[in-house]
Amino acid sequence: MQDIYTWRVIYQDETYTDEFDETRPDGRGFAELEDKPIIGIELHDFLKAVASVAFPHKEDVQPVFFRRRYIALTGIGERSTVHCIGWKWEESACYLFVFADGSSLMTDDLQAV
Amino acid sequence: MGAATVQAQIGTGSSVSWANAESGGVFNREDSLAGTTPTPIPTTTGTDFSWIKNFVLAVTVTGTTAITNRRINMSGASATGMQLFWKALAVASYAQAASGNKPTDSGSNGATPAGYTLMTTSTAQYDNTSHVTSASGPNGTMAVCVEGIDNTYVGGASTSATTPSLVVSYDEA
Repeated sequence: MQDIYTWRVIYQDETYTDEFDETRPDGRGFAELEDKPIIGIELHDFLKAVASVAFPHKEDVQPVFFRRRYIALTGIGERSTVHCIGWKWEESACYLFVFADGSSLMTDDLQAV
Repeated sequence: MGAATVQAQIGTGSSVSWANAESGGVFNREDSLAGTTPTPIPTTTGTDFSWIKNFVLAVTVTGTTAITNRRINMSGASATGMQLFWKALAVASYAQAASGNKPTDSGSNGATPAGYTLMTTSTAQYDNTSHVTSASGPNGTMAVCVEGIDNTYVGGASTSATTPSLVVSYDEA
């Protein structure tokens, strides 16, 4: 399945992990991140970053990425995907939902869309 | 591999067989996605229920991801006198749709069957467990759905009535 956006996770040591690269042309699951501090996450289209979220300077901040996929049982194969990047820390959270048309919504409500 | 390909499927048969449900279904009194045996419309006050529909999200092309936050809702409001209901049920507890396991018809209009939740246009989470997509087949629990038709419904036989489309959604990462 080909999605319009892919993720990049940026670590505190200025290295990063891409969902797709030469070593993983098949794509990584988001659970395959390196175990080191993260300072941000980006969404990329084929050319550049289209959205980014910086992480708070806290320990144990959890990165968030998922694709929220919708399937309508209408008989015409109606499907859509919303991308989400963000972070969770204790009771706080920040979710940036990015829609296929490029619009976005920042919220602390995981079920906002 | 990356993202998986996932399909909404319906389970039918005595030993369950999973099939694409995205072609659109009809709530009826058959063990089928779109059979034409209608759910009757009560002639006096009361609610008649369809046979159950066992829906599931199923991986058809495996991936390296995991799925959570399975939700269900209607795409639009239902007609007066027609309601949809859902409940979560483990795939291991699958039961073939039959007259014996549909909700008992009620003597009241707008009745909610025991153990079910009214479906609305707002998403309702039916399963938030995380399951990897490295195996094909059902991923997570079923959303077992039924239709209720009561005496205030003024449309035709329910199989020819416009039932709101179901929308299932999930998070993949």
